[in-house]
Amino acid sequence: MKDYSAENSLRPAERAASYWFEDGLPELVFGFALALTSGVGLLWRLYFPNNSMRILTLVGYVGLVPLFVWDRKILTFFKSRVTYPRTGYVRPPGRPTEPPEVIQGLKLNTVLPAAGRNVSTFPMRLITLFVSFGSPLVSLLGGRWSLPVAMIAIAALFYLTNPEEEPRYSLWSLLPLALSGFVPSIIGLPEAGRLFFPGMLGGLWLLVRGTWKLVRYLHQNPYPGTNVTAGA
Amino acid sequence: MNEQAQQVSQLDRLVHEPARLAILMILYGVGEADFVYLQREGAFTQGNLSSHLLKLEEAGYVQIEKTFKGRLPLTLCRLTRKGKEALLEYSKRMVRILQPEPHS
Repeated sequence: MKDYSAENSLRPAERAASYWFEDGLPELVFGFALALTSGVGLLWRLYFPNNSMRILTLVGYVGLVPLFVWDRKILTFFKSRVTYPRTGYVRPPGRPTEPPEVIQGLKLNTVLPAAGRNVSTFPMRLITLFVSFGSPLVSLLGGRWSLPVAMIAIAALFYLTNPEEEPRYSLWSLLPLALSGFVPSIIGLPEAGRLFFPGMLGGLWLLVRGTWKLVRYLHQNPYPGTNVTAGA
Repeated sequence: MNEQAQQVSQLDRLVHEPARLAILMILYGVGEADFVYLQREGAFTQGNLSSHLLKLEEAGYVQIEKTFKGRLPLTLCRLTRKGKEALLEYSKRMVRILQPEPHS
């Protein structure tokens, strides 16, 4: 058996937290939901520009509610078919329930990840940021340069608020996001549809990232067959 | 008898064995994990991990449960309170043993 433990020097709890994102499924699920919701909104605005925005926003939020409530169940459904048979199950990351043990000034090196890591909720924060800040910012600024400015602001916000988290938003992964605000201007997207563009880009960005990670994961971890319950 | 040597002799041998210590440390850090995950993370062979888990279960340090996640059957392993206390007690002893003498 390949020695995976030698490949990383993370503490067990940190390793388990990063394991949650190893297969790319969280990005795929949240990316799909975000791209779909924003895409529907975008088409709605393009084809029915006179309909009430309030109804549309309400529909959007209602569409995202199942994701907020049942995100773990949805992901467990997929992970139990893709990830757990291949590389095993470990409890998903979450906030620690107990303070870390300190023995004579030394913190036991196995203790839970720092509470601030908050790794399990990053897609939700992503959605919330896009929906809450992206669209109003575009409306507020108005004009041709509103979307580029909004996207640069969102990318900067991600970079500044997540420097130490898992998965880490690197400068290089956020740069395309920051520059993507220029796309609607280049392709000549009508003003009405621009409000939903940040959300759709965010969803597509997560989909691409998730697909790449899933393909890499499946390539590295072929299905082991039926011998998944072996053991104690 | 030398106090430090005495401390060493009082170490819990069930925890002191490297593979079992690794299992306990992983479970202490993650809460619960299945057999496949432990095998992968600790680079254990199937037989090796089974025998160590059996010993830890017999001692009441680890709880093993056959369950399902979705449709997938899993062998779930959890650290018990007794196992956690044993690991912490072992860590305290090791810290005491390895602590350098203060300079006089």
